Amino acid sequence: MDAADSPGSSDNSRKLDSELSCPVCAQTVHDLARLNEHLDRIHGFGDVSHADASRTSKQASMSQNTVEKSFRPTKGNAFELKRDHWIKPIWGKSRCRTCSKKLNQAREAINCRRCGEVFCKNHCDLIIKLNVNAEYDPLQGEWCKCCTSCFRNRAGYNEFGVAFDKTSVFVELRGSRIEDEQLRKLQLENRFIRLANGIRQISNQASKSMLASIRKYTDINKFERSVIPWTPDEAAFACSLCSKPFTLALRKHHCRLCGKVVCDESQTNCSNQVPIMSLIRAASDLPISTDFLETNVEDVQIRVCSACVRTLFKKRKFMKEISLPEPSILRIYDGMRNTANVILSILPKVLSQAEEISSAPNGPEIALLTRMRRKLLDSFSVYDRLTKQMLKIKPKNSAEERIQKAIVARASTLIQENMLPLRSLTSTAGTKNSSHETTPESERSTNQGYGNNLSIREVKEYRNQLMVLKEQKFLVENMVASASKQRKFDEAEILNENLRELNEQSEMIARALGEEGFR
Amino acid sequence: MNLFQVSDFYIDRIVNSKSKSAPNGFLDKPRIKALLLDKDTTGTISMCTTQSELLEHEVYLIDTLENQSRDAMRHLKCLVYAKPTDETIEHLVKELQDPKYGEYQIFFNNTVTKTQLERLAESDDLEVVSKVEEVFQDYQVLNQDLFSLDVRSSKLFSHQMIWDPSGLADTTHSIISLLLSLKVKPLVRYEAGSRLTSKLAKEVMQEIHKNERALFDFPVIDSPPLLLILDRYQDPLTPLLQPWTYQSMINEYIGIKRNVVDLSKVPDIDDSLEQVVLSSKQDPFFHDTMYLNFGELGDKVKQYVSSYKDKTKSNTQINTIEDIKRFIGKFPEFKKLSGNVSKHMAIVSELDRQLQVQHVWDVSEVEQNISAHTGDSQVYQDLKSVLSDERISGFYKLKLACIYSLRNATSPHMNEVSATLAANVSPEELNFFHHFNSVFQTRIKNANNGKEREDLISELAKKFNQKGQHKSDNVFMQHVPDLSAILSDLSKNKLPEDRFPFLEKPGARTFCQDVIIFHVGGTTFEEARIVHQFNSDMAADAGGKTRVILGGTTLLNTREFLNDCREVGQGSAELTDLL
Repeated sequence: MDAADSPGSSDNSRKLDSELSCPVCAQTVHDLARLNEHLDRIHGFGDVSHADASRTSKQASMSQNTVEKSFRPTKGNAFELKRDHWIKPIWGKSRCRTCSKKLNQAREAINCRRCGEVFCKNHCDLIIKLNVNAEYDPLQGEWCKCCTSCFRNRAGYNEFGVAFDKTSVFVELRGSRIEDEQLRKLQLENRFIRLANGIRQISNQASKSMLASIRKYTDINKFERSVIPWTPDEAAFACSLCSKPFTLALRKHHCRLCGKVVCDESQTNCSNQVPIMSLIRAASDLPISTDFLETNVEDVQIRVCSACVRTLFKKRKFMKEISLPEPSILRIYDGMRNTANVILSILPKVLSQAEEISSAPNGPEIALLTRMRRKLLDSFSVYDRLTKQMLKIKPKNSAEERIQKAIVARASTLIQENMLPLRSLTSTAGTKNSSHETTPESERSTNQGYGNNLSIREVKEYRNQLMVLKEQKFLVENMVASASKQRKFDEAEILNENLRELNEQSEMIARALGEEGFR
Repeated sequence: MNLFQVSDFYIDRIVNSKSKSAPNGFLDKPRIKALLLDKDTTGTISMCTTQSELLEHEVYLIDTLENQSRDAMRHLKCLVYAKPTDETIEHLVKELQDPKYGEYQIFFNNTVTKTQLERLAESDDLEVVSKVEEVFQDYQVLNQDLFSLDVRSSKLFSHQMIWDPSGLADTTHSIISLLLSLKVKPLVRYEAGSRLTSKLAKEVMQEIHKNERALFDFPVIDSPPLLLILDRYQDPLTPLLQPWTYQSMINEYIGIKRNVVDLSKVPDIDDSLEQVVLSSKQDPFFHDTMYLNFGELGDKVKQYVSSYKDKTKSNTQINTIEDIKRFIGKFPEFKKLSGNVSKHMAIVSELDRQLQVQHVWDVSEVEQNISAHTGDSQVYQDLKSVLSDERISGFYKLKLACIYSLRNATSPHMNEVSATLAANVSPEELNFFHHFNSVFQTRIKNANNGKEREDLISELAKKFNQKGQHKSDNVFMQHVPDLSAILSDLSKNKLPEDRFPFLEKPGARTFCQDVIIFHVGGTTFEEARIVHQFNSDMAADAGGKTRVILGGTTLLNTREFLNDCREVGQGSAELTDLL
């Protein structure tokens, strides 16, 4: 234990620095006496009066040496930071974990109090609250020096993004709020079932006997009143929905489902005569016998108010619309998404495989790669076809039109982004292919001979080139279209030039291939 | 403490949200999503993400909640992202009563009240809502360490020193949402002698206490974060000076709102460049140059253009198939580059034009000298010659006079200055000059009382100690905003308590490591640059000991600041005299 380790001299050495600052909190103090006082007061050094078990001398941990034991006589309950996890530096060999600076002597080095790793002084300059066991303890701990990674890994240091799910609160509220409405709906449904069934029965009887058929409408009328007692006419002065007072012109009507008195103004649409069959059809899930073949209720209409119609049929209508077949845009989009997923899942595999092969080519793997590449290209062409189909659809409304545009935009970026890496691949795979394809089968076909004196290998090579060119052509065409759309004509011109050259090339190859080109 | 990270997190949460159980059981498979925004969230979203990013998440239809004539698309799932104001709740109620889409997931960017939630629940009798969630992003992210509430001061204050009640409530809620989004439960400090900041500090603290259990339930951290609320009107000089860095110059001379720069007023501008988007997140060139001054910027643009030219050259030499292949491989990148080059060229040349037309070079030099050298007679001569210069607009003359009066309130030349001004500007502008003086003279006197306590020696020591305070050689950037000194104090944990008192003084001594600085009355891009510089210095030299985020009720340029002073003070000049 040499003198330099004692707290006093450690302070002395600090004094030599440009400023005198507390080793714990970096606060500047004017002289040594003040520093001691500061250490005692702020950091609890030798503070007996209100020292709790863990609160104690930090002097030891403060001194810069890593090997020495605290020898300072501690007063009261000793707070001794655990040290056995500190890594012993070997002078001249150990390096700072952060900057890899060689550490030559004790004065340059410091252990992170938490993780115990050795650092140079510059890279262990942060502070953290630790307890005796060198664990992070924001409440009871004492300030100690630590390294950047310990500093950053404190709980809560890099957290962000509170989100508060209120769905359950909302569902609960909704449950209590729409409970009444649900009850009312149930009531109306029951009434409607009784009404419908009753009317059916009456009509049934009417079709059987002459007498009953004369009485049919009076019977129905009577029956309707038995299902729901009508509000007496005298009690109603104004329409219960639109609150318009009844006059000679504005007649009183009764809703057959709720019995309330309503008007039939065509503007407000407070009530309407509705054929009972259309009501029954709209609520086909209700247990109403639909066996109407023998009966004729077709001509029976009942008056219903708009409130009841809404309660009974709003949700039914909504659900029905949802269960309608999707618009064709969405159907095609489903296909596009699936194809895109296939592309995105195969592509990285193909690329990594291609890389492997280019470093160590061998037969079966190349065959596999070729197969995968073919699949990939097929997917691309399917995707392309679907995109074209998508473009042909005539949107029904402006929303569909916007969706259509967005989907096409997304599709073209997807093709551009993903077909490009494939470009480099096709060339490697292409050359490899041609050099390795000497299977017996191909020999045989060579023997069979081609009209234009090309060996199978040449044919394959040309086909590959042609394929590459076609891909390129497709890409360039896309680019030309988008460039001229954005009115960047200088670009479009460069691209058009390219396109021409591509066309020439592909024509040349196609001629060379003759009948063996892609059919 | 990176605001872009936070916003990415939230956007991802919104666009990829899965409902636990689809309410009507029909939308079980993933499908095309529609996104409905209101006028507040449109800004937030547009500054953090792009349309193509949203497309990747299958958001193919974006519309506003306010738009009543949307088409019904029953097969879409609808994501709603809205600020919980009563107005948007009413729009939502209407939407739910007559739903256009099959399923709704509602996200609010701040706390929604019980009444609002009840109102929504009532109207959802079709049970189309499958999710209601609060995320917290009731603010706009400009840089990774800069946010703004985008509210003009005239809407916040009924008087320069008194909050308008609704303005105060809105600001408080926005700050709370920021704290929640960063998961911090801070200590609050404000500026002594500023009613605006102490009032806001109290409101924020109260709101934190109110939601302590439910929301502010974060792990205790050994060094509690700090929310420092500053008053713009304590440092009126910074927003008055002409800025010289890229981002702030754009804001000063062209204007940038929600990352959109409107170049339509520029003569002979190409159609495609009338409105350009400028975001430090998506534009690497802008990211690198936004804090550079005009000179450095010129060099960078030159490099950028020449590298572009090189690429064009290599593109025109196309002879072989290989060349074509290479060209096509590079083309999308090339196209992006060419668009970006012409965009920045357009902006920079417009900036240059404005500097010439408005004679900003002359004005700026004088105003920097005034702010840096108090009581210099040469400075006064320069000022007089600029004031009587006919080429320079009245606005700049007025501004120069204001700056002079801020720095030399007791100068014997003041009468002369106002006389010269009177001869050269309109009576309204002269009136404003006197109004400006009456407002800020009293403030400066108040502030000086506090400052005088610091003796000469500690003042001197401070000057030497403050890093980054070194006077720059650049004559146009001599002024250093007060914020710089505050940051340097903060990093040493020596921010004076008499000037910036705690609202609730912590029991034990604390060290501030994470700091959010909020400027009531608006902040400037110039200060954002200082904060950015501070953060990167800290990250490089001190392991990220202190991290700072800057925000303000708005982002000011010189015109907006003077207008704010004018509008906010109107009709209440007598009150100022009383204070």
